Amino acid sequence: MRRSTLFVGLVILLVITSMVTAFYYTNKQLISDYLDPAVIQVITIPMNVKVSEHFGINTDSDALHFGKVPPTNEGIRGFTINSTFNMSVQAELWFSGKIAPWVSASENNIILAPFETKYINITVTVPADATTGTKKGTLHVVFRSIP
Amino acid sequence: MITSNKLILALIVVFIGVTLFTQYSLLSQSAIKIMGAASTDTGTATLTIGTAGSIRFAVNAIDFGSGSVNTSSGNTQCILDTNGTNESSQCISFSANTTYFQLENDGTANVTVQLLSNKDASAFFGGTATLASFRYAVFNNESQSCRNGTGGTGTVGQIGGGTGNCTAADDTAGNCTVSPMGWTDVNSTGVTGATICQRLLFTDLNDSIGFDINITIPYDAPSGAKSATFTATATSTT
Repeated sequence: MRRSTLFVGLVILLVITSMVTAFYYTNKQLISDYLDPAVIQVITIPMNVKVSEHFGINTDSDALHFGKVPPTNEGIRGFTINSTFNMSVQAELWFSGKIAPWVSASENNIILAPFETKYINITVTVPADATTGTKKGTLHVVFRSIP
Repeated sequence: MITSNKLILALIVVFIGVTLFTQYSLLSQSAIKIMGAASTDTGTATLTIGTAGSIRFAVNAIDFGSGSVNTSSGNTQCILDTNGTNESSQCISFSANTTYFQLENDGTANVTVQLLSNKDASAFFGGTATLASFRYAVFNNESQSCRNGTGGTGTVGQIGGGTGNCTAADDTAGNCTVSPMGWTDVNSTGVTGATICQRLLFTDLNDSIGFDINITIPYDAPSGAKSATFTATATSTT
């Protein structure tokens, strides 16, 4: 085999391995959820906030729209979790995307009794150095069975 | 040597094959999960996003600078507001300010807006409570943005002479648009505070209200930075 062929093969191998590694680390939590046999359902909700000079509220319910929030201030939206599982489940919340570090939940690792409903608030705190414009993210709610 | 090269080539091919298969497998399997389909026959969970939203913001976004009450002229108070009031005979070193708070309906539904402060005047400033005040007044930042309970543009205050406030009874009857229109103590009780607009429209040119704040600092207020937080809550309405 010619050396050039071997070199090209190794480069291809390196590129593919890098892609897989990057994919793994950017989706580590998703992969972990999938591989966890206790996970019975995952629901995602898009989130967005407009970093602006002025305040604006958006109550549309197709996503967690936090409206217009100037730096150092907070936007709050909430949602109801309705479980129709006939067993207790645990709901873990985690966030991905640009605004993930800005977002927090009023409660996490929530234990839901069979057929229980709970209301959760999600707060985005826009950091002082945030630039203006629409920033996005995703809320992941992972439901696990409780042994 | 040829056998060795073929072996290396075969290993590379196997490596690439296994890597691609693993990547495809992870992608396709996690995609199923991302869709949120229930994978159990014992029930399912649903999420319903609420039709209310809040914004929490600090009063110190309005910067009056620092200063004191001019007690050497016999004053016991210093009054500042976001209409530019900064009476030099009462106040020393504070800055005049005309920056008010603007609140816009950024969604696609009309909303009712309420405003809550986490502190009243006494908690905000300290000092002699009877000399302190922490007040606000609301207005349409874009014309006719705020409508009354029936969608009308008139307010009881305007009809009654143009300077009065929408009363609690008017509010209950759904007759108010922006409220209060005159300086009124901030509401610091309850969960969501006072209704400041019955129906804030969402159409782009008529979807913004504003409010000014007016503070009266008593001469004996403890020195130091003062902070309070407003929470504006909007709930979808017709």
